[in-house]
Amino acid sequence: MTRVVRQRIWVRRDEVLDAVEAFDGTRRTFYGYTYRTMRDGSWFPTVRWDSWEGQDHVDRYDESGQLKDRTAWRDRPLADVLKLVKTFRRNLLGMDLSEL
Amino acid sequence: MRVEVSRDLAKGDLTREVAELESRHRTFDALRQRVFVERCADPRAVDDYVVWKALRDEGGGLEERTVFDTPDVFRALTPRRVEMLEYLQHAEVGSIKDLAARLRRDYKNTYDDLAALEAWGLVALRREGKNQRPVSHVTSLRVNWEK
Repeated sequence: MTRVVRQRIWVRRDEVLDAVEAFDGTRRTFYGYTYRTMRDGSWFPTVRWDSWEGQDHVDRYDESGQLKDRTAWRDRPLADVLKLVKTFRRNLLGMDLSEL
Repeated sequence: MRVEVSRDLAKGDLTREVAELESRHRTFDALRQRVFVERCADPRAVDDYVVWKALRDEGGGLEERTVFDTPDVFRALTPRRVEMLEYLQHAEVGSIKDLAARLRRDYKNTYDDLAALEAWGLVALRREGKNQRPVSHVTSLRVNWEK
């Protein structure tokens, strides 16, 4: 029995962290945390941390929302990712995310 | 400081959720093909797959939360707009014009207030025929200063 929690966390009016987490009981079986920024009235993914197919990784996207690169990273909770987003915001695009 | 908004999802909301998933991806199998076989890199498709799978599972469920980790949201919460949110929570309206009439306000001010609330995800304007029907996305709104 899967329970999914979908959250939109507004960091600023034009920046959000969208979180989708799936739970089996209390065990988190999937997470996807997408930092989106608004341009011209539309939301574009900028950075995404997720565990799709059991692989913890972080993706970066270009200005048109296309996947630019993907690196491995270690699983961290939503609160930590929110802290990263609030601290570094759009600068995340130029950082080595696997080290954060 | 966090402003936490909760929204109770009724059966109708879940039916609408599935209808929206179908309009975006046609069928569950088409979406599964896209995320597994084509290994698409679209974050929305992956999240949609996770949500849709849970909704198809017996006993599966979806919870929705909105958190404002910025005090900027208070710029949108004027007394009139809070009153509007409260009204929409307890009454169904057919259109923006209908809401304006019921609140005895003019159409433009009502529209502007709804647009400001929609920009923060606090209401949705659902297209129904020629009308846009305002729907509240707020069941409760709580300010939390706890660490």
